[in-house]
Amino acid sequence: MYKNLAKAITFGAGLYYLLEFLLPAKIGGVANPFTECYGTVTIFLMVLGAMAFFLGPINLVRGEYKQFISFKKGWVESLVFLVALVMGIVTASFRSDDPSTATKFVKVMSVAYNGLFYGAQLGFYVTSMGLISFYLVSAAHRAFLLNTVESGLMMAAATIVMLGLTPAGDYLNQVILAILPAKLQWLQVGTVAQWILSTPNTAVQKAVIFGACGGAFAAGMRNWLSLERSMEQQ
Amino acid sequence: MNHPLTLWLGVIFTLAVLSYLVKDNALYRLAQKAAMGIGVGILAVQTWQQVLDPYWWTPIKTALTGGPASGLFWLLALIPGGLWYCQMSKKWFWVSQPVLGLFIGVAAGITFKTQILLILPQIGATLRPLNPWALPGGLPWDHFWENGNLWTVLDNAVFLLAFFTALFYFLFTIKADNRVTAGSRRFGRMMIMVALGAMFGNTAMTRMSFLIERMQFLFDFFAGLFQAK
Amino acid sequence: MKTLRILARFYHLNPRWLYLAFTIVLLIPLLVAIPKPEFKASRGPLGVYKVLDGCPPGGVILLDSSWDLGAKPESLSQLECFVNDLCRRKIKFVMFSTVFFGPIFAQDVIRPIAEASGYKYGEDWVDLGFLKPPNDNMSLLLDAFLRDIPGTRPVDFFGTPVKDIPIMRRVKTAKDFNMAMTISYAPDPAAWLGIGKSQHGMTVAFGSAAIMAPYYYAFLDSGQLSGLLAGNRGAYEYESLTGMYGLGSKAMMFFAFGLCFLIFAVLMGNLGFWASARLRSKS
Repeated sequence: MYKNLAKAITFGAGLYYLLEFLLPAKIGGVANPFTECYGTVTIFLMVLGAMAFFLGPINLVRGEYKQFISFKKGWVESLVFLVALVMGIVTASFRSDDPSTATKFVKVMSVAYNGLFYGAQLGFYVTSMGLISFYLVSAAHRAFLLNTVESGLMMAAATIVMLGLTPAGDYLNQVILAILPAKLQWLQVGTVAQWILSTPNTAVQKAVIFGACGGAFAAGMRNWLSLERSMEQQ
Repeated sequence: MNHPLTLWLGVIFTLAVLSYLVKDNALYRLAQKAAMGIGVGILAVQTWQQVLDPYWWTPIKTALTGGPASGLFWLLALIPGGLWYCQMSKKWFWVSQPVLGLFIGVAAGITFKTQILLILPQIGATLRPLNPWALPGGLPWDHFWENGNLWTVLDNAVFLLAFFTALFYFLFTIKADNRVTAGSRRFGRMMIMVALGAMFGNTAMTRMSFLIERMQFLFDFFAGLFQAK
Repeated sequence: MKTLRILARFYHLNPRWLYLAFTIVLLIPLLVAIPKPEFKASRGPLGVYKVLDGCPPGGVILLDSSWDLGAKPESLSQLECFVNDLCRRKIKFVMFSTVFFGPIFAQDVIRPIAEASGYKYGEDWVDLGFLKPPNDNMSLLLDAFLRDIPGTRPVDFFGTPVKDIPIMRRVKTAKDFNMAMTISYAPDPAAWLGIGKSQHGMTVAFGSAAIMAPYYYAFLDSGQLSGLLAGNRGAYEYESLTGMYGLGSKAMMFFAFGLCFLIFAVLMGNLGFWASARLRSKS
């Protein structure tokens, strides 16, 4: 019974958006009721989605707290997480965007917040993303083997596009312009790179978009009609 | 942002992450947990300050302090909002199904609309002309090879060939057991590899941009430190 | 034989030596000033520039600055060059963000440029702050937002009611904007092009991370997307069009050295693999 209620809500929610899209703005002189309440429905969903946010932090805190009080391997890291969490909450709650009118406590919180956010968090996340470029280099060195036509094509395209996107390619273009006759000057690295991006790459991306669209429709239909096996089993 | 605390914390966390290149170590793990904790704490406060407070709590507070009574209807949002937290218990997980179903239905409904609106212009744009005489300026015989329309049509032919063979490559229900289908699939695979190569180049650029930003930061910090000394 | 052994060693090199060499190569542009050559801007940045050419002074554009820590290096340079151009052309803008820290990062960039250009907050630009997409579905948010902006966002980032903000009296729906520019790691095409362009008829341009750019070329080709700034290169090309060089051009030489080193690593890896195979076959 309760499972059927969930399926009915799923169907009703999808039907609302479909009817809102398919029905005209005015039906026999009367405004489309689905369009009239569209803004309120969206804000309601926004609030509902935000209420779900705390699920993640609560589960994280539960896990880290269990690890900390067990004093097993990694308990120090769990303690650091919990302390950092409290610091994040306190500084974000009491900071002010206008420190000139704030008390000394608020000014200290603002400085601490900036240190934690712009210093610690930004430093960690941006550097973590930057680490990937090192792994790209080592992967390119060990794993990028040109032993088939396809891998050779891929590497050639990658090289031309990489050169075309940097001043190295711009320098090469100047050399090409100086050496080649006028009829062959389309052979500039930048021009070839743009052709690769505009023609074969666009063709393949469009093929992927069409395939993904069909898949999205099929998945959307299955979800809307609650035909997904995971929803059947719950 | 140029406060010494911000700069020093930035340097410490940057070097802690870079130390992972040598070996996984305790400093990296501590930095990871600290950054996670700070992020979750700040996000929790921001969720309240930027979404729940202005859109949910403020109308309720206004209604309770003499404003429009319609704001009290927002109290009802606590019922579906509270259902989310039943997911924390295995025994009561099933209670959260209606609110899960609501969002699944909403996502499905909006998907139909956005995919139709997104894909229809794509269909028209994919079908490029192969007739050079149909293009503006045509193809005069005296300037046959110099005419830009000829190269446009050749480009269009390559595009359409790449598009249909790449689309065909993903059709696994058709067997590639003759020269035509096997050849098409092979050509499609080659075009996909060219596109992947282009994506690899761009991927490298994005990843490097992060590293370059951090290197500039570290260089500016240590250069400033030595200059000050 | 000796050459083969040396080349084979490259293939079996400890990756930490590669990391060190890569770091040293990236340090070169920091220490040596290398001039950048001239080039022609590609169709992506040119498209954005041409759309702004068609926008009259005093026109209003919708700017979605939805990036934070995960996209800072590229999006920051794109936002900087775009806002510089808006202020140069005296075009007003309404800004919002769909990530929590988006407004803060954006204001760090916009405020100094706006103040230097004599832009007044509330009259020439406004920050509507953070709008949370319900269930991270951008299409849902954008559909409601573009139909009724004051209804979906009744206050700005600082809590001022939008009815009290002069620029917001001019803009109520999507039709009141000359164009929409979204700067993000990966702007959502279904939302912006499906809803914004197809449903509301907006002119839309993207500023995205370079990694996503090949995907958006399909929309650039169909005309759904009017312009595209792809990564730092997109910002650099746009700066060359406006003549106002900033963060985009600062990073370009690093890319040149870094990507050339990457190509060199691939070539040396392949040579080393071939040399290892030859040595194995000879022994």
